[in-house]
Amino acid sequence: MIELIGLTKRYGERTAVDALTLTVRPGEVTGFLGPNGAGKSTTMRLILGLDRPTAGRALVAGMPLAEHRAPLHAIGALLDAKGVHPNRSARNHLRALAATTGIDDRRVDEVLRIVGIEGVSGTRAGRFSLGMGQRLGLAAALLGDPTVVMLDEPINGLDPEGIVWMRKMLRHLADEGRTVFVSSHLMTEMALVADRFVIIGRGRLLADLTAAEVQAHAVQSVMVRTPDPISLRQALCAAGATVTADGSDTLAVTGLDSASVGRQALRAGVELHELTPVRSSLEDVFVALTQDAVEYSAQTPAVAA
Amino acid sequence: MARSLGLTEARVVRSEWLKFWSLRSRFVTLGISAIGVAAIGAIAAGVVDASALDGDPAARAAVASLGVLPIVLGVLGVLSATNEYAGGLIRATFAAVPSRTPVIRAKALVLAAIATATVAATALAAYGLGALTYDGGAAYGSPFDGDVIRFVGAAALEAVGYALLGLGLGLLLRNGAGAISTLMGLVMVVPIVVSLIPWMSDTVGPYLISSAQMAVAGSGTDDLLPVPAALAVFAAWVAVPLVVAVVVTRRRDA
Repeated sequence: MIELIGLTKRYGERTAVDALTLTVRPGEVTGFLGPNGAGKSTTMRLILGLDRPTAGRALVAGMPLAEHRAPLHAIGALLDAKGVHPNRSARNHLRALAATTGIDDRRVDEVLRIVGIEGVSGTRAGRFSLGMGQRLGLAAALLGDPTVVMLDEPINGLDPEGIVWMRKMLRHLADEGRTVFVSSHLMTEMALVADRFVIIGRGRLLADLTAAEVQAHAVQSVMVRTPDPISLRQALCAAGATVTADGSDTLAVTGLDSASVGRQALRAGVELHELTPVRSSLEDVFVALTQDAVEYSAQTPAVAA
Repeated sequence: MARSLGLTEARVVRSEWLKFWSLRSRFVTLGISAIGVAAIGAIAAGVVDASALDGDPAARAAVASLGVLPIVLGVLGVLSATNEYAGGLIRATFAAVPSRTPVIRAKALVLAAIATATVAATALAAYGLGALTYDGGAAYGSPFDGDVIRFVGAAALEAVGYALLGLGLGLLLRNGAGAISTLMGLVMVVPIVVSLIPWMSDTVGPYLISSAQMAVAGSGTDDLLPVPAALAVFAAWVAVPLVVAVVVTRRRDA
């Protein structure tokens, strides 16, 4: 479990993390979402005691990390896949970290196997691709068989196969009863694996939702294509739907499900060429929630897909 | 796992020991330096003119070039800190050892042990090779004749001191190039500048780290500090940056 209590970090005038209060629970994958610069990495550094909070506290399994007798067993973290000396082998990198709490070489070889880089364990880490670096970082996080696993953007640089593997790994770790806290700016990836979503913007908590609650936020609409959009539009509006035109022969319908749209078209005698239910993605929910809190917004705001 | 797992000072030292020796460049740097110094010692002993020794045993010439090693150890001291800051490894290190001080203590201990062992091994090799190459008139001399052992001891002390000064500067500046330049400036450039300015060479000169080291080695001139005072000055040169580095590193965001 990770508990944040009024956690605040200011760098001079800039507030990176603003009175964040949050509990990350065991047995779940918690997705930590937010636009770039929202304070995700700073929050993770505060949890590890690497940065000193301006106010508030961060507790790992009930106490600050510095008070743990065996920090590697309380929390395993991956902050930066490049946080390795480029001339040290992957295995020696892990051995040096493991030695601090007396973890033996057997466990080092075991985590190398778990993340699938045992074949290159003697290679200088500087030769690793970003994806291999992420795997090595995960291996380091798992060394102490920790109750909390915290990963900052672990999907970055992974190939498609690696992404599927990482997803399964996160699920597996949570199913073992661990607390899994994973930051990402890739909403769609998180949507596939997380049980809970914590969304921050400008250092503030914007939402703390379960996957089911996110679905409730998601708007459903129906995309329908017809050679006679005017008649169909009239029929649908009469049935209480909200209709917007989307191109010359396509309508976007909200307020009716796809079965009702089909029924209305049949009654009105309008020919349909396409009828597709559209569920807004987590990305849309995320954009809606963070619109006001984006630190660096583009000159022309991107239109939500 | 059977053994009780948890942080201990000894385990952090082991971790730093593994870090030091798991870089091939460390073997190469120390190996080449030691072989080079021993070889120069052998050559020096081979060509030394007994009449020019001024009462010293010839073995003194064999160990005279040990003074190169402290510079090498100083650079390794800097790198043992700045290497970790360069790539972000320091965050993994401090996440594993959140109180941080044990990491610095362990680095200092490992550096001190390696510095002492390197100087001792190199001195032994230089002395031995020198005995083979020397064919002057006077006796070659045992290591305990004259100032030979004192000179070697002072070189070992200097190597330990430079390594720890390097560690302190590396932790404070967190940048390899900057910390190495500062170290070289303090031990090589400042003494030259001070010696060129008359009023400074008398007042400040004896308190420089290089002068203190020469006083301890017994290889300087009359205007140096007495040995106990020189030892204290040398210790302060090493301890002050290191203590400041510990305080700053504990407080600073990593």
